[in-house]
Amino acid sequence: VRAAVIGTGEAGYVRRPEPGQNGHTFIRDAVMAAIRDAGLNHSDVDGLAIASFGVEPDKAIDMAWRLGLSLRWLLQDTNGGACGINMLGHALRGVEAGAASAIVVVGGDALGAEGFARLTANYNRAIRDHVAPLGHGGPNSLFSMLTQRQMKAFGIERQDYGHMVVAQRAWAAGNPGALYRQPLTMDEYMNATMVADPLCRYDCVPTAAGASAIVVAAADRCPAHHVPIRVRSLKQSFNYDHQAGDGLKTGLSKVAGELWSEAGVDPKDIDVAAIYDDYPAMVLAQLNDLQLIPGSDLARFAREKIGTRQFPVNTSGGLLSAGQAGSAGGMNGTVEAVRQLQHVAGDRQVPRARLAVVSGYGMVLYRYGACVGAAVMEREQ
Amino acid sequence: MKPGIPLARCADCGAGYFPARLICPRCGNANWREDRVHDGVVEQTTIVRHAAGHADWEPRHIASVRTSDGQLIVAGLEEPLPAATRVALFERDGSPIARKGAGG
Repeated sequence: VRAAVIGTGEAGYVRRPEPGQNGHTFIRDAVMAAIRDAGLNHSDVDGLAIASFGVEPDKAIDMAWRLGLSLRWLLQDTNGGACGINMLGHALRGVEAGAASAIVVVGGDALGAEGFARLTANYNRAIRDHVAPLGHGGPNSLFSMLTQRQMKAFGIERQDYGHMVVAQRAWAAGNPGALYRQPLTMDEYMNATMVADPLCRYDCVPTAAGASAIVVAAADRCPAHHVPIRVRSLKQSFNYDHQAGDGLKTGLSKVAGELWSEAGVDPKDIDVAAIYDDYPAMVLAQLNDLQLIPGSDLARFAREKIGTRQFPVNTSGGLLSAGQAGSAGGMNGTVEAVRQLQHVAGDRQVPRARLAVVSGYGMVLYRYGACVGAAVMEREQ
Repeated sequence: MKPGIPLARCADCGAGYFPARLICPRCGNANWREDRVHDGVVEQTTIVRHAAGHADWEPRHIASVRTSDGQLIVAGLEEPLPAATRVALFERDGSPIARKGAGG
């Protein structure tokens, strides 16, 4: 069996849920949309992978029950921004091993600002016991210092990050599902309210409510209105440096060589990239680790390739413009890459997109994220 | 505030960790002794001016501090301090606080 992604579905990506909407209902709506898009019936689904910070005390099995799914394959993922790549890998192997035939992979949350504050203050024991008591205000403070280190190490100016943020907003204009779609100017970026110096409000993801889902199944089950999206390779890294470094490299730096050689793809042939964008600095760090930035000239690549949209990065608008709906953040890029390769991305479609790279990054243990992964995806010819 | 911050010191290879680990990533053993580190140098600082979900937020100064034992830690500051400032470390409610000057 050769597995592929055969459908996508999203729900919400709103600032605040309407009465009657919550994390459970957004997850339901994204799951139903993905099953429909994959041309399957609800009863065809025999596998579920789910990531959500907010469904507790429910677990994956409670969600299967609530979603009316009777399954033979089940996974709950807790890897935050890296959940999408992790669940995708497990789902592909699950289908190819015959453990399940049609797996829905979903991430979603409706935490709200207060829920987000509670989550980030109790993210793990190290944060709860040693960082949150300082009033760190969530991950912004940690990534503001990481951004300073990156600016110094690579000669990056605030304006370079601004080019990326402005470009992502321009992509978002073509995504009806994005939270913020109105154009953003460089002046607005440069004059924006500081949140945690040097991060301004446009460098920090807006909290949203919503869910994102895909369906993984045998490629020959792909409906006539889509082509199967294959994963040529997928690599991950967890806790690669024990938090002993400066955070400017991720575990992708260790697995990128294998990722490209196993895919049989040259990084320069990638048509579209979906790189986990909790902060602009982390987009550059991951692109550099993935060997996509010539000469490791991060500032120049931000200005001349990303800022001009010559190299399409985060065409959904990314989390910075589409919004971060908790665990849906780990799925947003995967959904977007699949849609670009299916050629159903509407006004933001990258012409003739055939190869995409998707990354996920997350789970701050103490000072920066420890879970990271990437996949090279291809539109089957 | 208690002077210094706690380090978990591997009794076998001597590596020191904050926060504490269960198994030493360097040597794979789990024989620990308590140690403390009292000094450090500020590497980066930030001012947290706003925080989602907190309406009555007071700006906080947070720093990355390299301890004299080599760990890079997150510490609270009571006043803004420039990078390269030598600081004394204290423990308050389990979290590191850094003050200008040398530790005791």
